[in-house]
Amino acid sequence: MRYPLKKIPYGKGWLLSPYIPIKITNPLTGDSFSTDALVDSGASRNLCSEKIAKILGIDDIRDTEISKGEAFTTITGSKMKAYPHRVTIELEKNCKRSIVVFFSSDIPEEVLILGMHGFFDHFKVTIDTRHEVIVVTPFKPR
Amino acid sequence: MRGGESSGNVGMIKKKKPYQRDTYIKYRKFANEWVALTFDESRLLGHSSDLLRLHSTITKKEEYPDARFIHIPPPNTNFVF
Repeated sequence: MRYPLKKIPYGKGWLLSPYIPIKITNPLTGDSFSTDALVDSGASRNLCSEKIAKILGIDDIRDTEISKGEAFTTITGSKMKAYPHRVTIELEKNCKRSIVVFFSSDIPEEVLILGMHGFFDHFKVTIDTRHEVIVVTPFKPR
Repeated sequence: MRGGESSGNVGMIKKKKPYQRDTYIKYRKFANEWVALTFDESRLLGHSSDLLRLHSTITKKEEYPDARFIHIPPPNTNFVF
């Protein structure tokens, strides 16, 4: 799957950013949300805001059986806590994966980051700034 | 990442994919808001700073089950997460 790098307005031009279109679905409720997610190899996990969790029918992000939540350290050194939930992401038709996303109330509502554990272990990712594309190829299930 | 002057979408990708390269530039006047777009990003269905309200309004109509919701970032912002 090949997507154009998105142009983020900056001055009279733009900066290119590796956003990809995804549909995220809560398998427990069937609720889904289609948006852009930022592919970020600097993130150790998938991370998402509490507001998007509410759209997915997750009323209390702390109510999860996977773990009691995990601590995250941001680039500024501040600490935050996030709670894992299993969701399904769909990049295109016939390309779905069940992954774990950590939801947090400590991040801006627009945040949906696809990180190393939970995304990059499902997909090969190539960012080609020369051709201004990001190529995402699913690994075959082991 | 390099920048430049705004131009159209890449032809090859535009033919194959509905996903548009210029969406964030096209809707830059809605910076700090959410926009609801048709799946192919060709039509603006609504915009709001309140995501829950916008999502509820659009999904209630049932005309656009594949609507996409995108947050337009503020201009001239560098960011790291």
